[in-house]
Amino acid sequence: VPATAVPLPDGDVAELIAVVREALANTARHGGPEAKSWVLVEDLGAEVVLTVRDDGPGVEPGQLVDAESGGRMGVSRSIRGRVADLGGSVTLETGPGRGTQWEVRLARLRQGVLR
Amino acid sequence: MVVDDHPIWRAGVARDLGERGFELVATAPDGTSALRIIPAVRPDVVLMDLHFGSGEASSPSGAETTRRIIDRWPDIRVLVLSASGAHADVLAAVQAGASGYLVKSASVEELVDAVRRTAEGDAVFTPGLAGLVLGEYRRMARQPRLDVPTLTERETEVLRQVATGRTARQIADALVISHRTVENHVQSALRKLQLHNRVELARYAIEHGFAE
Repeated sequence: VPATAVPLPDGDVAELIAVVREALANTARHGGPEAKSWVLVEDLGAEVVLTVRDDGPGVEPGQLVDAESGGRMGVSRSIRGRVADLGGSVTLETGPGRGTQWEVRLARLRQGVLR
Repeated sequence: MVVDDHPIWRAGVARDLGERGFELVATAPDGTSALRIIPAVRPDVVLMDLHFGSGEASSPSGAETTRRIIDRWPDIRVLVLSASGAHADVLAAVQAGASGYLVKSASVEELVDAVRRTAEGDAVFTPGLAGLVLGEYRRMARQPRLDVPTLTERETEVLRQVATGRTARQIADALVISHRTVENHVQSALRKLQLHNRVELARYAIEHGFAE
């Protein structure tokens, strides 16, 4: 995190915290006992970027799609849903042996309102 | 040399480092004592606490002590050891010239490795410090000023990767650059920040009429 606060509206903060919590819980569930997680928050002025990464075993991209369509990959759907509701974007980077990284981008100016 | 106001901590660090072949030349409970002792012992590396709660009340802070050490003895390297959470103070110490930062909850292995790397002249960039430094560049970039330092795209990318826990080796592989180049990007980001801080201080001194 930066040394100074990253101000955001309450609603956005609550959702971003929920995203971090879900990503960390997912690592705790599937990452194995040795997995470590890192959380990075960046304030770019016009947008805020949240990155949550773990060095766990990662997931085969195809597997994730299968799991999602089968309703088992709740975390991906939940995180994407939360961020979509805020009007932000999610990038998921993962692969066998590559860990898992969620990058959430949230613009401060949305629908013509500076939030 | 270990500068910390807690005797038990100083003794523990001294033992851990002594067992790994380092020579502890001195300890000090606060900045005032440290600055007095350093000329006599000339350490290669100073492990610096940031808060001297039970030291001399008039002692400069860890960040200010770091600045004075680097000013007078530029070849001494300062590694900051701090309780987590003191973000602004850690950033101040790093801007003042510290070449790395480690949380006090780090393992003995991490401490020994950090001291060794600091002695060799490398920056000890934990993910937390990378996030702090990146945040400071982002903050400066939002100011309506043209004379603030900026990161190159590569430096930004390397700092982001360090901040999200990747090792120098992983970053080198991902960006198809050498291990040394990764280290150079990190050093460069740090140096620009420290240089800017010195310029700012000098400007402030001149504007307020207490330049030497």
